[in-house]
Amino acid sequence: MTRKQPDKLVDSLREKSRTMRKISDYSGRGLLIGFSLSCVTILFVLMFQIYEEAFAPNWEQEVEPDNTALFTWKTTTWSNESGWIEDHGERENITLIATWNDPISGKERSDSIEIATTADGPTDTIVNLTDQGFEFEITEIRADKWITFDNQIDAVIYFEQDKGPTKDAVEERWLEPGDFILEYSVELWGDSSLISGFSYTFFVLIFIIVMFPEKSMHHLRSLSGPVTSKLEGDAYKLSFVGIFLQSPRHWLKDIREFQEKQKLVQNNDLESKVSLMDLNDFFYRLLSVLSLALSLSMMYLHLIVIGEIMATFCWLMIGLGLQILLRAGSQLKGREKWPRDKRMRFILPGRDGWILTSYVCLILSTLAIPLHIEIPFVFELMPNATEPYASGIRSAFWGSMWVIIYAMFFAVPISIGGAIWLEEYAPNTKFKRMIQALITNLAGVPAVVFGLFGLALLVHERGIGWGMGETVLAAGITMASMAMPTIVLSSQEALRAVPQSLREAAFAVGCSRWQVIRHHVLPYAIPGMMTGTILAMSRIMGEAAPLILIGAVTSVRTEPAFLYWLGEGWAEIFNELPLTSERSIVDGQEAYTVLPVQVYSWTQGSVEGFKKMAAAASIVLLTMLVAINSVAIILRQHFRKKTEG
Amino acid sequence: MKKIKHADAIIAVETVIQADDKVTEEEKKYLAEVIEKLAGDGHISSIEMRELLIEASKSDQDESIEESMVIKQIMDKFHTESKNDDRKNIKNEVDSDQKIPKGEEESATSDNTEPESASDNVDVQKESESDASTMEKLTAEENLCSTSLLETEKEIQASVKSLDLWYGDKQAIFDVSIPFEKNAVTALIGPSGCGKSTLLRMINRMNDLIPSCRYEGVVEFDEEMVLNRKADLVKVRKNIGMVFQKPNPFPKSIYENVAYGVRLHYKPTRKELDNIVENSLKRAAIWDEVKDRLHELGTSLSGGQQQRLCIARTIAIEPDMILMDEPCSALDPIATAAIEELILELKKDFTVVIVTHSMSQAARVSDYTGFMYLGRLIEFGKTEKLFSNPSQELTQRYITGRFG
Repeated sequence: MTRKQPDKLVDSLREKSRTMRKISDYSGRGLLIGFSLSCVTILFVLMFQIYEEAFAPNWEQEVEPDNTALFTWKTTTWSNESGWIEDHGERENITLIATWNDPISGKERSDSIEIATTADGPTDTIVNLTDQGFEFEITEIRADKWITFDNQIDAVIYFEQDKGPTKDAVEERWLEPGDFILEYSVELWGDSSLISGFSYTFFVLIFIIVMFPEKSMHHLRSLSGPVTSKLEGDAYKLSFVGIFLQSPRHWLKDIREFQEKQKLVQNNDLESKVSLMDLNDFFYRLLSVLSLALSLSMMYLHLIVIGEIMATFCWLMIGLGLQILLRAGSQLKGREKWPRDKRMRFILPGRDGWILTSYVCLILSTLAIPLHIEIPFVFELMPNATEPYASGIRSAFWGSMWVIIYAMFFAVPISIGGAIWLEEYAPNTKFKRMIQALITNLAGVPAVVFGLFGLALLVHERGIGWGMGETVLAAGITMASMAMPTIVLSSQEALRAVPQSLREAAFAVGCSRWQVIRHHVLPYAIPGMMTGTILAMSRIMGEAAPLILIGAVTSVRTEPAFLYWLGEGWAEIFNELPLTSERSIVDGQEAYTVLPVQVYSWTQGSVEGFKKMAAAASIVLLTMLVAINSVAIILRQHFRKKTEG
Repeated sequence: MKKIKHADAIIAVETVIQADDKVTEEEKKYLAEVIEKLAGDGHISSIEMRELLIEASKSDQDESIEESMVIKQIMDKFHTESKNDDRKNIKNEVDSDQKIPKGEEESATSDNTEPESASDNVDVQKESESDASTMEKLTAEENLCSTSLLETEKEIQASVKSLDLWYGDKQAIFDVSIPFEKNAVTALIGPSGCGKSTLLRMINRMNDLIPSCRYEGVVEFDEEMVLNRKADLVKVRKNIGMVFQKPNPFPKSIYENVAYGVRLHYKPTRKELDNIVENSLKRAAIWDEVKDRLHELGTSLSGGQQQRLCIARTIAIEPDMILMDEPCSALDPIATAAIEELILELKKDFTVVIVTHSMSQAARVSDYTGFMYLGRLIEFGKTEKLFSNPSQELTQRYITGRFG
């Protein structure tokens, strides 16, 4: 038989698919590497900023004629739940020097002013700067408030800070009506110990020592205490990584061998018990385990914080990637005579090398994710009654989150269970049809009615009321009852869309009814169910009416204590835990507010700025809805891919 | 896979073509093609052989029952021959079975047959008109009743006894009794809506899924009452597997498709499970096509492969009986040939019941055939007897294609 000539069309198709594959391959790889490289760049920029800040020169500022400069000094912290400002420790006064060219004489003149920040000083101070210099020699301002300088000279004034806590001084930009204060600070991993730990090892050790050996030594000397201890911690980390990299394969092999041997022992093959482990190997491993335990225990002293643990894992991943790369280089066949660096150069541009390099880049770039961003609008706890631009939506945001979490907690299991019962189990009786009709009608009931239901049944103590009070839990249950009909109906729709042939196939291989539902029907129906659930979620997120009825208050200073129902006994335990010690989640404030209610209350404010805040808050609300819906879409696609391929 | 010599295959095709009364020009042409194609020494697989034979019987646009039955005999012979390693001259045996003198037939059909067949067609039309009127009479009088002549040669695996079934108020099955011989293929034929699928689904109680369905009667399986209220449905369906009309693999990997049922009923170790999956896929004659992509989705296969995967899924849990509900209705002739071949293989270990619309298929694969009409089992018997010499007039009319 003669061999068939390949079809031309097929050939061209093959060529096409090959190019397509190449394009997708390279573009995907390029994107991955580009993304990770940009993340690494950001990391370096941020680390540079941190470095710069530590050595920041004194603050300087120009003020144009007939203009005003605003400054704030963040020198205090919020105290406990009362929210009052308290002064912690002694504080140095700030001294500013103003320099200007006198417009009449043309000579250079200067004057200085001392600013004392106190806990109970005036909230608003205006200092006029005239030809004679500053109005006062010393002035007082409450901490964390603004001081205004009014330039009444017909010349540009240069401000310079002479004394005082410069590091915390934050420059404000010119304030115009309708402007938000977007003062922010970004921290890596949200943990200062990691910033110093990781960036010092990475930056100081690699960058400075290589580039500017003298400066780095100076830097190290100037910060000898904290930095050397950090370096110590990093040394432990690296030793842990090194030891771990050396032996995991052996451990795995050991475990496997041990299991097999154990099996033999169980089968009364006692001779093999003796050779369970070679003596030499045993000592070697004992040594490595001991050193690991030592380094772990030493690290424990340095690793009390999450950031350090994350840093260790990042180092570990980087080390693993490099190790794999090295091993790949050493295993090149037929090139044993090549020197190691040449082998590495050979393997890096290859496919595996690219993948591994991009992994390393990705892991490095995860360090660039700023976990701690501080923007007052998002993170300020309370809506400030007097100063719109210092108000934030944090309490409203968390109120919304907890209402949704509670609502979903109650609504999802009940309604999906109900949908399964209605579709799969319930016999077609009058009772079932009645329930079906009730659910369909309930989906159309106005939201306020649900609010009344919650008020009567949950919040109030009179009559049939449960007497929960105006709490997050009551709001969550009310919202759950509102979300349930929607979820039930969409879940039923999703269950009905499962092809009957799939059920038949499952029954025919001998599944019980529950197995059919659990293994075949639910996986198929989950995308649809999830769509309905998330639609219901976004609906209850934007709902204000029922929550106004059941007591979402307009002005709340802190996030709700969502575990308030646990009682006093738990408070002590939770207050000990690291994450919950700063804000109480058990015995704190029970009052809550949600975003739509916050928007509503801000629009009622008399100050113009609050209306702007309301607009911003509604943008946040919309963004959250969009985010939730996109998560829904992504999840749906994911599950669809899983079932349909 | 059994190997068949080219020369034997050509003789078999010739035999099939000569099985019925007329040998047309198309058939001759096809035979010439086959001879050309199978020139020289070599072997073809039994599936390819079956394909050739089915093509031969279809080459003159008329797939006659006689041809189908000859195909079955030939294929059975090949199976038994390969077992016994005893090669005989197939052609002579088939000829002696059928008692069709070869020479006569050739001479009779060597003339141009077109005018004859045209007049035949006219006759058939007339006849079918008159048949339709008699059928109307028959149904109007409602003197149809299920047959009680139920005989099998060997041990009976399962049997249905005086089954009545209603969908809501409408009765779909009237007093049907039918036995299923062990390790044999029983085919159920009949026009659409005559209740053959319903009867089939009754055996492993798949009709329980239909809420409006209720039934009275007895289904025995290995001396157990399947229709008993207390019967363990999981056990019943484990022992009686089912293959559906439309291929319906689970939306899981090919491996999982087969392994799922096994995990339900047994607790195999990883290695045992691998072996079971491999063996089931091999027995379903799909292993070679999927062995390199066991972890792709089962739904990504072609229709015929999906159906064979479903069969593999069914035989993996080792049932005693396999019900097939028109397994080839959605498949092309090649896939059909593969599955028919598979049914003959499965016969050795399982009792097979197959519902089919194609009478030629029933003739090709089955040992027993039951003909159903309007919810009654009109006739039941050995396939050869039912197709060559039916005792009921209705059956005669149906298999000659005059109604239904």
